[in-house]
Amino acid sequence: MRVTEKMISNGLSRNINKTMSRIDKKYSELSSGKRIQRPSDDPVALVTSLRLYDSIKEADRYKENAQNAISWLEASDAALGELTSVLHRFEEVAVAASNGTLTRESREGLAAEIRELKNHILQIANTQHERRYLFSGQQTIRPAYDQNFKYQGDSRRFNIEVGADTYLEVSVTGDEVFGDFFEKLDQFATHVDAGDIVQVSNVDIKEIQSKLDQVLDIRASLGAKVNRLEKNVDRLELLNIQFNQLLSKNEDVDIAGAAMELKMQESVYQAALATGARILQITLVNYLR
Amino acid sequence: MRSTFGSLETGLRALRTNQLALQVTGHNISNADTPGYSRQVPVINPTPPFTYPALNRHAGPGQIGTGVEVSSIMRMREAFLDYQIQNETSSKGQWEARQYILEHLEVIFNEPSDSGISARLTQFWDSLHELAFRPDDSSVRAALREDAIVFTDTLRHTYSQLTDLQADIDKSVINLVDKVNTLAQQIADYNVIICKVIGANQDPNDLLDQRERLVEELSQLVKVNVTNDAFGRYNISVGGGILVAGDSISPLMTERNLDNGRMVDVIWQVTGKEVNLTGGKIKGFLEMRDEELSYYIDSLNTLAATLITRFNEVHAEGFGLKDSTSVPFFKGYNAETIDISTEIAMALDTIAASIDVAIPPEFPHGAPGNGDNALRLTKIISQELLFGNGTMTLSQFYNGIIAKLGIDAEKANSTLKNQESLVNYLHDRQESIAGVSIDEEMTNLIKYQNAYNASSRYITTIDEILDTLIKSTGVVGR
Repeated sequence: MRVTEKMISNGLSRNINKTMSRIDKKYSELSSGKRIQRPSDDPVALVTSLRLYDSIKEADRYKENAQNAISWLEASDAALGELTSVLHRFEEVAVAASNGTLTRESREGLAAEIRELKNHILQIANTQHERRYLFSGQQTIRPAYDQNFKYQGDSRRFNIEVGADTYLEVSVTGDEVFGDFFEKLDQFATHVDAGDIVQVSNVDIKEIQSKLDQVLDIRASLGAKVNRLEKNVDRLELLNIQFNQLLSKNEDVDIAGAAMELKMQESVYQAALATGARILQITLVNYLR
Repeated sequence: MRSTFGSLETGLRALRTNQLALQVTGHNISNADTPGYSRQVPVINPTPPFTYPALNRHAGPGQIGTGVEVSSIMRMREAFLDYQIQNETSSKGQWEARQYILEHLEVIFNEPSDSGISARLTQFWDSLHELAFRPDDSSVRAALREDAIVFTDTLRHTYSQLTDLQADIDKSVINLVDKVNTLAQQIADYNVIICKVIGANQDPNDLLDQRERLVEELSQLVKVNVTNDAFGRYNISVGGGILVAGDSISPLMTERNLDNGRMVDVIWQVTGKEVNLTGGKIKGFLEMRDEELSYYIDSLNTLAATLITRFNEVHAEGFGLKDSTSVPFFKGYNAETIDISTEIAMALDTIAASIDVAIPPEFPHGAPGNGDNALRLTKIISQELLFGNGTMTLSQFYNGIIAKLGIDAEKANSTLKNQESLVNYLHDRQESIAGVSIDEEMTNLIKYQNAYNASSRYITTIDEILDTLIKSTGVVGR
């Protein structure tokens, strides 16, 4: 084939361009760390990436939901823990009040303490977590009990989605926990006041103990839920690590490989330039007088 | 008998011939880098010989040569390669248009990234989940509204970029059709001159090169079919119609099509019929404008419309903080018009996170702590099979659009690359025949110069012979 100078120079500039665009691609891959910058870079891998993004986002969300739920459950548990110690105190008061030798002053003192602690329980019932009332059911923006110890919440617990279509009830309603306990406390105070030892030791102590059992049961079930959610969080975290590994495998640049390739293309580029500089300046003209 | 001065004529012819050959060589060297130039070669032939008669035969001792002449100047070019170049250039032009637009689309959709539609939608979905947990928190409501605004803005912006691109393509088509007409006119003009030169029995080499360049440029825009008439004129047809017929052209024009969003059709000026383009840049642009871009615009509209309808349906069933209900979340009906509704824009309370629980008098239906409707809304985005006749979720539908874009763009990239190499190869083949080689021309230069010098010496020799004859003959005894 007849070869002209133009063919050589065209070929050279085409090859230099090709090499330059490869170098450019490697530069942008290396500087961004991503193999896929545009859908066309690898459409098949892109589809996988898009799916993985969705999965990661979803796992992140369910993890966040679970953590929200855990913090809610823990706040509830803390409030119920406080309630437990108050109930223990009631137990002591009741035992003390069952003693027939108490003076009137002592009985009045105990009754006053019961009324005081009743107010404390009201405070516990109206505990807020992140500015929301824990025990108002879904009426989270108003206190569970008003000053007259009347329940203002509803009986709906709320659900948190902790996995696709998997729900967990996280709230305990005030109704459930306190019920008519405030009235019972009033009776208790009245019995103590009146020195009605029979009522105190037969009825009130039992009421207090059964409330204590109930609260402990609730706390146990909250704890079980926290456990389950924590396991869920661990699982989602593990899942996310796996998803991210897959994503990285799918779209991240193999730095060492890309750097090698870049180095190679740079050598090719230099060789092309050197060859061009040498070949193109020589024609027959150089050798004629 | 030969004439006394016949040999001088032979020398003169040699001088003329070599001078002309040098001229051609100089022309080649001058145009070594001229695009489209084909090297020219002087066709050197001996002039008709002179028959020397004898007594016993009418022709002998033989024919005597009378020197040399340049009988023609030949243009070195392979016409078959030109046809191939025209065809492949059309195809290249078509893929160039596709590749250019698809690359532009990739930039518009900007996926994968943190600012594309996909990321905005995920963010919106995430906020809905947050709302489901804290429906009574106005800062969560505000964040959700913000994310919804960003999402709808992104959709509208993408939509307008797509329609802008479509309008830009339309303008390009108008410009390119003008260019086709200009090129056709120029080719017809060359036809006129070429016809005259050939009529005068000469070779219009440079004119042919110029015209060939124009035809190649034309074939980039539209696929052409070129035939040659007896006078060297090109007849060019496009999509079955005649664009250039010898000296005259039948121009194309563009006409706004009211049935196609006032975008232009390419028609024949004379008949008003649509030009049936089969290749070239214009065809590529038209395909992108009418098929591909329409697909992306329609898909975005489907996405927006389906989302608006279903989302509003579920949202309207729910209750806001102040017992508002039947409130739409979005307004608009497609990707161009989608926005958050006026109610939502004006009051965060109207975001219907709660379902109907019907208990207390202050909140006769929804409960402030109930996020069940928000949870239902998240499902519209991530779980409900709303698209593709109930086979795809919203994100699957959108990912499908991006996947198609990726596959199409990759195909355009690689096809264009192949087409470019093919055209380059054909150009190289043509260059191998038509290109000027400086080495070759320098060799010719030496060859013709030496021949010229030798001819001069020959004339000097004849001159000396004649000098001897005239001045030194018949002087015996002087």
